[in-house]
Amino acid sequence: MDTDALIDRLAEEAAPVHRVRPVWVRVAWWFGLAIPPLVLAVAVHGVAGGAVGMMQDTRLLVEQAATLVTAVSAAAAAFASTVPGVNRRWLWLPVVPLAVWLLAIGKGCIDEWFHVGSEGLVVHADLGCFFPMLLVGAVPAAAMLIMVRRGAPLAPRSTLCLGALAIAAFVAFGLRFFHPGDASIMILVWHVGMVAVVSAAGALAGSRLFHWPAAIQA
Amino acid sequence: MGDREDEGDALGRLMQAAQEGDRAAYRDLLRDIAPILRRVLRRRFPFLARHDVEDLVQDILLSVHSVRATYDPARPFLPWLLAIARNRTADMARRHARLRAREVAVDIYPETSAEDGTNTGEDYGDAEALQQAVKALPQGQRVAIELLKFRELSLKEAAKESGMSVSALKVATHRATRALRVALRTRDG
Repeated sequence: MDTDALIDRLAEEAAPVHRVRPVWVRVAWWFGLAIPPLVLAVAVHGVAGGAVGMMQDTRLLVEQAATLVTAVSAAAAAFASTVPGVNRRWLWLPVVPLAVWLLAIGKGCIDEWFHVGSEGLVVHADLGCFFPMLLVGAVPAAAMLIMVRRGAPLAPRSTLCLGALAIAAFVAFGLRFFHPGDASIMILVWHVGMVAVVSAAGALAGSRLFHWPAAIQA
Repeated sequence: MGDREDEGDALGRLMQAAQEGDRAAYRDLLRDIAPILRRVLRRRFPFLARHDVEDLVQDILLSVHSVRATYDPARPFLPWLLAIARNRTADMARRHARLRAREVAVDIYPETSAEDGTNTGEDYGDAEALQQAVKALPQGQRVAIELLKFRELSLKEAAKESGMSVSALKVATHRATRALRVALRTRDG
């Protein structure tokens, strides 16, 4: 097709569009959608005993704060990665909070090893937290996918990897409130494991779930 | 520098109007950015043929169209446009590299078989005898061969045209091929 004819065709079919909101507004919207299921889960399951004690434990507070900042910064980076012309350094935003989160969990593991010995490092399966995790994670996951797909698929793997990191970190943050307090090794294996698996799945599915429209693909 | 900023501002205003549904502004915008894209692509890829540059320009225009909601009028227009152009050209380069990796350049086409009976230049046999053998086939088999082999339709298209099911077409083609092989061998033998 001739380029001028293509331009005429595109102009003919150009309907008004809702502008994609700035990154932090989108992050606020995403949290606005993600928080109600978490509140519902806390209301159904009740606040865990450990969550009250968390306020007196500096390490736990640091861990929770870092988890939340990881979720916020990963969501911001995911949204920013879909805006053409935005600085690519946004993609590195979650690295520092993620490192702080992992260090805080690592310190917890070492503390428990000193206090309880090798029993503090026993990992066991806990299927009880699986369904609450789905309940808390489903809405932010759907919201994230819909919201990033409104943007441009400039780096689909990075976008979905960061989006998945945001969801997994938010779920890990939420679980602490209503799920019985776990040993740090359990958090390390299950929560961090979930973050790794979900982020890797996001990266793998990136170009399938988020791509340029079919008509302009090769 | 100042001219480029002015140009960017003017394009940004056109895009803002286009986002609000102004089709004339959108047409002007696309007409203005097409030569910018051609210039950028020719500078970056001087080895590309004219029609390849034009294909790429069209691809970028379609991409701009599909993500025009992501333009924020508070930000400069040209970096937004060039980021899309860079992304699409990188995709093109990857596609090109993938295709090149699958292609093998050869000077002489290899023979399909080293046997004496092959590569004689008369591989297609007697076309007249084939036509007659096809005519002699039962109705269903003849239709299947004509649609799938002579006209090279897909099974789905052939099913639609003949009113036969896909599995019936497969069976008819299989039987027809066998019957034709027997008929032609008998005739030659």
